This record gives sequence, structure tokens and C-alpha cells, in this order.
Amino acid sequence: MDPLISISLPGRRSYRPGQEIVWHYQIDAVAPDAVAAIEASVLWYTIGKGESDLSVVVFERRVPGQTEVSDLREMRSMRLRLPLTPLSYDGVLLKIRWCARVRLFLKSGREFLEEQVFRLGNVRTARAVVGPGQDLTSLADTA
Amino acid sequence: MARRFRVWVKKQGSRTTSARRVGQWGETAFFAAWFLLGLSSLIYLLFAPTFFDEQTPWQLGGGRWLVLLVVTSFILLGGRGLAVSLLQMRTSRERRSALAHNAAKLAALPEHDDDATALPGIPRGINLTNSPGIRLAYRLPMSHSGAWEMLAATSFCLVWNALTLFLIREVWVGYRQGQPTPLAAVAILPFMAIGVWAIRFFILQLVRQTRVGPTLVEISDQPLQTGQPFTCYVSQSGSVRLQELAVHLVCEEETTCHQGTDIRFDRQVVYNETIIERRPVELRSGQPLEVETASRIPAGMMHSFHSPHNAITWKLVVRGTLERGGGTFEHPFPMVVIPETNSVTAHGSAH
Repeated sequence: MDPLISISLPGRRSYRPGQEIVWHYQIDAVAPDAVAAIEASVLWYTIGKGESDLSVVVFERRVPGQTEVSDLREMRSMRLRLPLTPLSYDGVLLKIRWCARVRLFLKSGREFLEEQVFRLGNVRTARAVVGPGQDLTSLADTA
Repeated sequence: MARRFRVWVKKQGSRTTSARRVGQWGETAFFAAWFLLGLSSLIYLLFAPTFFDEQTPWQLGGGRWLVLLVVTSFILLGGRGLAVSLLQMRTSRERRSALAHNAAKLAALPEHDDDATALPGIPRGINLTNSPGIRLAYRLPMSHSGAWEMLAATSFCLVWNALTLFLIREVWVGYRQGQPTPLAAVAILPFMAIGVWAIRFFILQLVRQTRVGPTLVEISDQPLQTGQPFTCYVSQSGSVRLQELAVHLVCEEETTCHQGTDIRFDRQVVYNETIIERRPVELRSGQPLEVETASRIPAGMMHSFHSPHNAITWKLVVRGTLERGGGTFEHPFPMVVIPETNSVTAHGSAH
């Protein structure tokens, strides 16, 4: 059975820029001595037609023996003030997603990842429109 | 869902239809083989001088310098690729990003640090605010002047027509010497047609560059906020009759990705509002068309954004259509748009 990674974000997962949030994560269904490392991060990444870009706002790597707790599987809370930009965006060629992500590394070499997407800001969804000098066929090409 | 192994794999940028781990192992094996080939070749060069029928291996000459250069490049390129591949295999993307972020923070100069981190992902647009306007606060620089098109049209026209003239001369000489080559004469016709098109295109570009004068655009605020009104002043000089002159407020998405050895570039307009429209326009020397208008960046729209492979740009585009099929010209003027103050609550106090 694969390990369980649970992430809990406050409220309805839609936040204002600059808002302070507290989020939690916990690991289950894995022996404590099987954990090699846990990485928790809050980040934005792009998806779409171009190559994906990613930027981490908060990053924490915990390794057994190097933290104050002996069992890394226990619930961990992290407080952070969200940045002002970039805001979440649903575009045509490009989308910007914010998420809290936890990556679990086992001593066996296996790796597991879980993330919870949230919205930062309230930018409306974009749609393709005709540009200056373009005709309607350019929109059909995009679709 | 990526499969574990495929013989034929589709790849676009960093996305692939194969399992990422398989790709990483393949890349590491490739660079390791390259590095080992270079290293073993260098060892062979050093310890087997008899291979070159010489007693002293370091008497460089002939092709030895070239061999040494190639072997060294194998070691350097293979070694670098191997190191990067191993680092990427052992380190998550988030960790690499965090390390890069910390390194950038350490490298940033203290006076630049605040600006760069206050609104991450938004281009700072220093060049957009360092030029004061005459009517309004800021004069916007043009991002694209058309000089490259002119250079490309001139080069292509000259090279193509020189080639065509050379071919015509060859056929003519053959005809004069009593050795006509009708097949070659027919084959030249498409060359001549393209040559005529190149001359026409060159003349159109020349007319556009010489008769359409400089375009000046000034705006009242920079950076602009979404939902914020602003004033825009446009001056178009020249000596030509335009069928239409329009100024558009445009928001555009831009993405780039690697496809093999190519870099693919895509654009999509997601907002386009005509804020000035005049038709027809008679531009006379010394009497530019001057228009001032008020507009607004719509509330709820996305702010300017820039990352290594993706961007969202706001710009004012001045577009003119010349009369009698003279073509069009388009001059974009980029701007920086930040989120509205209500959206970024406590703009400064968040830090």
C-alpha cells in the first residue's frame, strides 16, 4: 500500500494576496523508519502550451535525526503570508496555479507527491479574442 | 498518464509521453558515456604515444591539437551534463527552485531587493519609466521598430535577385553560343517570379519606412493598475494618406517551449479594445496627427507577468493601414500593469 499524504488548507481555498494562512500536512500508512525525507512547499507553477515555470515561496525539507521531532509523520503546521503576486490565472495558452505540495522520499528510493491547489486573488478567466489586424480564423487556430 | 517505457516518445519542452525517470536515466547514461569516452581517449593519448608513431606524446603538431581539443570538449561537456543530470535526479524541482531563489536573494543588491520581491513575477519595467513625456508623465519606448523587417527584406531581395540574374546570364550565354538549354530557361521562371515579389515587398517596406514617420505614445501613469483609468497621448507623423489609424489596448499571452533544437513561440490575444480610431488620415510633413484620450485597464483582468518561458504582456498597439494596398504598419508599446490596490490589500504592509 502506498503512503498517504494529507494536506489541509483553511477555508475555501481562495485567498487574498498578502493574506496569512496556516496549513497542515500529515503522513500515514508508512513505517516511521521508512521515511528518508519530507519536503513541504508552497509554490506557483505554470501549465499550458509553453514550458512549465515554477517558483517556491516557502520550502522546508525535513530529514530524520535533523528535526526536533523523532516521527516525521506527525501533523505539521506551517504559517505563511502569501505574496502579492502572481495571482492565479486561467488563460488560453497559459495558466498559473498556486498549491501547497508535500513530497515524501522513502529509504527504498520511492517518491510520493501530493498537492492541494488554491486560488490567489480573483482574476477572471481569460478567453481568446481577435487581436489588432487579425481575423476570426486566428481564433479557430487557437481552438 | 506517462507510461514506464516507450520506444517512440513525443516530447515538447519538458513534457514527454514517457516516464520522467526513464528519460532522466537515459540522459544520465548518455552524458556518462560521453564523459567516459573523452576520459578514456585522453588517457590513451597520454599513455600510448606509439599510436601516433612518435616517441614523445606532447610534441603537438599536425592533427594532435585537434584531437586534444575534441577530447577535452568531450570531457567538459559530458562531465557538466553528467553533473547536472545527477543533481536533477537527486533533487526535487521545488528544492532546486528554493536554492535558486536563495542564491538570487543573496546576489541581489540591497537597493534592488525590495522592488524585485514586492511584486514577484511582474516585470519591473525600468525602461518604461526613465523617459519623461512632453504632454503626459511617461513616454513609452517602442518594442519593435520594423528595422529588422527592412533589413531582412533588403537582404533577401538583393541575394535572390543576384542569384536569378546569374542564372539568366548562364542561360543567355548558352543561347548565344548555340547551346540553348530550354529546360533551364523554364526552371528560371519561378526564380524570376519570386524575384519580382521580393522587389515589390522591398519597395513596400521602403515606402512604409520612409513615408510613415515616428510614432510617439505617452501615458499618465506607470505602472498602471487593473481597474485604473489613465490618459494616453499618441502622435503619428509622416507624409502619407492612411485609410485608417487605430490604437488598441491589448493584453497578450506569450509562451515558449523547446521542440527538439527549435524554440517554439506562441502568442494569444486575450483582450483587445480599440481606444482611438481615425479614418481616413492625411499625414503631412511637419503636421503630425495628435490624439489624447482617456481609457481604463478593465477590473478583474490579469496583471503583467513574466517568467522564464511564459509571459502576460499589456501594450498599446498603434496600427495604420496605408491607402491603395500600401500594406499596414504596427508599432507596439509595452506597459506594466499591476493588480488593483483592493486586490493586493495592504500593498506595503504585507511585508
